[in-house]
Parts: sequence; structure tokens; C-alpha cells
Amino acid sequence: MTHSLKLLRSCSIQNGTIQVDGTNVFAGPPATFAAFATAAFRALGIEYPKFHKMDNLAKLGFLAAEHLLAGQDFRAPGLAARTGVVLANATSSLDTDLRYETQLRQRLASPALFVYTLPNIVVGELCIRHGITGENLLFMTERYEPAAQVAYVANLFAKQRIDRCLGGWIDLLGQEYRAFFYLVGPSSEAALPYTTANVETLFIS
Amino acid sequence: MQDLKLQLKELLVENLNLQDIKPEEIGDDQPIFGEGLGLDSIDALEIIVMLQQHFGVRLTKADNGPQVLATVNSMAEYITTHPQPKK
Amino acid sequence: MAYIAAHNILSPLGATSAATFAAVAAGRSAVAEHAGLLPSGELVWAARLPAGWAQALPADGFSPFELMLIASIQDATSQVEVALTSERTVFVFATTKGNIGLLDEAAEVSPALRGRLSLAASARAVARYFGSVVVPVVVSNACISGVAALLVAQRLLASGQYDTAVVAGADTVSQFVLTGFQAFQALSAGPCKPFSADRDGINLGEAAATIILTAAPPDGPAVRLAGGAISNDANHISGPSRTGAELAQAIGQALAEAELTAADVDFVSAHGTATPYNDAMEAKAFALSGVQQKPVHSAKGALGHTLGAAGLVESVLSVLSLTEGCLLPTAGYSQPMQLEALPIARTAQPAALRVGLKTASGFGGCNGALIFTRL
Repeated sequence: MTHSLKLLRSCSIQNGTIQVDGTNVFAGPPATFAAFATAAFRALGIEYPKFHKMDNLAKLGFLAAEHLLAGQDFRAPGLAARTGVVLANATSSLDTDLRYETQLRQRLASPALFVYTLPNIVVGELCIRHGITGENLLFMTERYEPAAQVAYVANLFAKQRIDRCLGGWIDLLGQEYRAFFYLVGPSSEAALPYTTANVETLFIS
Repeated sequence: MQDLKLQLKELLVENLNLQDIKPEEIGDDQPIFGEGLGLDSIDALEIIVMLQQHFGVRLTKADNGPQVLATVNSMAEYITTHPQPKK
Repeated sequence: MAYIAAHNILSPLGATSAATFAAVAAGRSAVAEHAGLLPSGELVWAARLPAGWAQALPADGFSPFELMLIASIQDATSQVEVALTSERTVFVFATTKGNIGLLDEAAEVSPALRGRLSLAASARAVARYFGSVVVPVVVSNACISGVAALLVAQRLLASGQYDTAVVAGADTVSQFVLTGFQAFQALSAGPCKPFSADRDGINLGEAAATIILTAAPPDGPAVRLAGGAISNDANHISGPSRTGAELAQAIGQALAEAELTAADVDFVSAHGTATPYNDAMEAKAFALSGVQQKPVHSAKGALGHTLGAAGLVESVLSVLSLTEGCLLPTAGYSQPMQLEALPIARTAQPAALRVGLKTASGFGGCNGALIFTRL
């Protein structure tokens, strides 16, 4: 490839705030994740009623991807199949698993909850929203391991399977949540090379 | 019957997370799938569970699901013609 | 390109790959009617490991799910020399729900139980049991997890980071998952009927499988994992694509990586879950990919849908099909589908086979395809 891989954009959501490339773009009132998510969604000003049906993990991912990919169109021919999504997560869908179990014991199994008792559904929601049909994977790790992810994603580019990738970390359990998404691709203009050190720096900032 | 229909509308809004819709805005005869309220196949399954939980009726594959669930009217009709089985 | 050095299937039909394969080839099915699996008391058809199957294993506080992985890996690693404790050997795990079965009986959810529900923690415990010093990779991508784990392992080997990958997957039949599929009206009323006109849903199953992949060819003839790809329908989180185009995309990419064409494929090990939608979608995908005339089989009638293990279990069966020269039958198959009927065998057929295609699809709209070749 002619241009080396660069970090094109990043989005971080934690503690009721949303940052894009290090700049605060939204701060919700101190509140539950559910209230924060609803407020952040309304602030987007988009029409997407399915958002309200998502579980909290999917909402978190949706919001992060919406900010990250603003202005990107993956429906251009060829691009959709050449865009990857490679995310990592620790607690899987435990937040929804527990809700599902509670509902099951108190009443009846809820299909709307059950579908979210798989951690990769958030990836599916992102693919639907942004028209991404390329390689999509969710890795389970006890904590975020940028080195492993960077190596894997860089290898996908080296093997010419993708032209762009949404990578990062997403986790939510109760009121503890963190989304850190980045967009990586070949670029001559963008400044930040796609390295473990740079990803780590963005993650902890 | 009107109470039942309003109850159904309230349950739909609550169970299906229809955030931007008020129960009274749903027409009795309004098709709720597709264009109507934007419901999909998972919503249909959720409604089936909702009907079982609140009214004791169990829709099986033998029943004409799409027809029964099409509108509030058709659901109310089904409930009143399929009383809860005696335990 | 990666080589299959050893493998195992731990299933209700046998504790080894050979035993399970022989049973499937003979048309046997582990699917049976069970009482007491659903809280309502209703009967359900599922494929379960026999009670007491783990008796001979060291318990050491491992859960049934973890023991399934351990037993499977134990058998696979006994077949070849593997440097389990080397930094050049990585464990790659596939599972959808790990220890979720522990939730079924729990009176309350303690912090300790929450910890046990961590997929990564289970993986760490199992890898450590075998002396691994490398953080295990865990793939959780719904029903394509097994296929995805193999593809991830192949990529890790190709990157030069590792020489050997122990790829293992498992999932249990739990009340948690059964009740969910029941709420989805996705369970069959009896033994499931893959690719049949009167198919009506799935049977859940439990199993574990292991494939040991190496970057270097082993001595003697070997089967290769020659190519693979993953795609997303970008359509609906639980309903499959109506066109099958995205699974076809993955199949095409897998073939391209293997430097093969649809004509080279000798058989297809399909996902074939026996739901009305999945099987129809797969048939469309096969037609789009040009493999619709190739012998197709689904193992779901014999072993049930083993979720995160399925892609691995069925890949092992595909590898054995190649080495044994045997096309597998599809247990439960009744009448051909009306549209896009596929060539499904009711009994095992001997055949010289060199290229096998394994497909999988899952919730979240994901699809996976792998190409296995016999040298």
C-alpha cells in the first residue's frame, strides 16, 4: 500500500461525556447511563427509533460510532465490504444477561432482551447503521490490550482485506461504562501513525 | 372493549420502547408493522409474550400471527374470543 | 494457510472426533426429548452430553463448560507434540455464553458468580491448566464463533507471531439459552429438519471441539485451512439477510484466498440450523456463490446447534470428510425445500474429496466461510 496506516479519528465515551479527538462534544447531566444515552441520542438530532430498543451496550456503541463516523459514507460501492469492525470487550453482555434472567424468573422470557444477550450484537447494530459488511469481530479480554488489537488489524490491512477499520474497546456493566473507538486507514495527510503506543495514549487520555 | 384497546396501546408503547409515541396516538385500526409504528419481527415476538403475560393467551404457529397482531383491533378481537384457559 | 495437526470433538455421540464422525456417518442423532430443561416443564428436543460424562476428569473447581474444553483439548493435544508452554503457542477460544449455565441454578448473583461468567476468565483458567504462558484469545461472535476462531488463529499464525494455535470451542445447553430460543419461537417441535420443506426450527446441542493449527506442515499428508472470510449482512440483528449476498461475499473471499473457484468445491458443510429463514438464506447464498449443486450437509440434525462450538465441531467433521473420503448424511432431512432445493444425502457416500467449504451465520448478522483442502 502507498500510504501507511494512520489513526483518522477517535471517540471516547465515559463518565457522562463524549469526546471526539480529545474535544468534549457532549456532556450529559450526572445521571444513569440510560438517561445519559437518551440525552446524547437526542442531541444527535437523528431519526433512528431502533435506538430505543437497544440494550445499554448497543446504545453505547451506537453513540460512539455515530460520532466517530459522522460524515463517512460506507455505502459507496466496494467500501462497505472493505470496512472492518474489530472490537474488544470484557464483560460480554452480562448487563443484559442479568436483566434477561431477572425477567425470566419474574415473568416470561423476553425475546427483545434475549437477542442482546450476545456481546457481538453491538457490532451488528453498527454494521446495520453504517452499512458495513466487511470483517467484523469481537474479542473478549479481561482488560483492553491495544498491542494485540493493533497487530491483528494491521495484519488485516497488510493482507489487503480491508481499506478502513473501526477498532477499539467497549464495555458496560451497570453504571460502569467505557467506549473507545477509533477509525484507522491509510492516509498521507493524517498525522497519527497507527501504533500501539498511540492507541494507548488515546485510550488513557 | 375500549379499555382493553387502550390497555393494549399502553402496553405496546411500554414494552416496545416506543419513546416518541403516546398510546392515544395509535389508531385502533392502524397497521402497526412496517410503515405503521416501524415494528419488526422481534417486536412481534415480544408482543406475543406480552399477550401471554397480561392476558394469558398463547399464540402458536397455528394461529395466523401476522393477522392477529396486525392492529390493536385484531389483537383485542383475539383476546376477547380466546378467554384464558381455566387452570 | 495453516495446517491441521490434530483435532477432537467431544459430543453426545462420542468423546473423540473418530467416534462422533462415525456416528454421524451412520446417520445417528443425539437429539432426544428432554423433560426438566425448561422452567415451564415443557418437553424440548435437544442434544445433551450424557450425565456423568466428566466423571473421570479432575474437577479442581472447573465448571461443566470449562471441563468440556479441557477434555477436548486434552484429547487433541495427546495426538501430537505441542509446545503448550511456549510463547509461540497461542490458545484461541470460541464460545457464545461460557459459564452461563451457572446462572440457571443460582439463587442470587454474587460478585463471585459474576466473575465466573467472564468468558475471558474461563479461557485464562483453561489455558493455564495446560501451562500456557500466553494471554488466550477469545472470540465471541454468536454462532460463527467457531469459524471465526479458526480464521483468527490462521491469521495469527500467518502474521508470524505464533507457530501453533490450539483452537477450542464449547457451549452448554442451558435454561438461559433454551428459554430465549423458545421466546424466539425458534425451537423445533421435534428433531430438527435441516434444509427440508417442513423444517420448523432448531434443536440446541452441547459439545466441545478442538483443532490444533500449525504454521508449518506436519509430516505426512495434511488438511489445510486454505482460506476464510467473515462478513456482515448489515440488515437485521436476528433475522438473516433475505438475499444471502453477504454470506456469498464471504464464500467468494474464502475461495479467493485459497486460490480456488466454486467449481473446485467438493462438498459444503452448511450452517443448516433448520429455521425457515436460515436455510432459505443459505440456499440463496450457495446459488449466488455457484456451489448450489455441490453435496451439502448439516450436522445440526445429528448434534443439535452447538452455538459457539458449532463452527469448530463441524469443521472437524469436514476435515474428516476429506481424510476419510466420506460425504456425510443429514440426519432429520425430510423433503427438499421447494425453492432452491439442495443435494442432501440421507446416507453417507464414499467419495474422493479434496476441497470442503464450511459456512456459518449468526445473530448480529455475521457470516463466516472457511475452505479446507486435502493435499
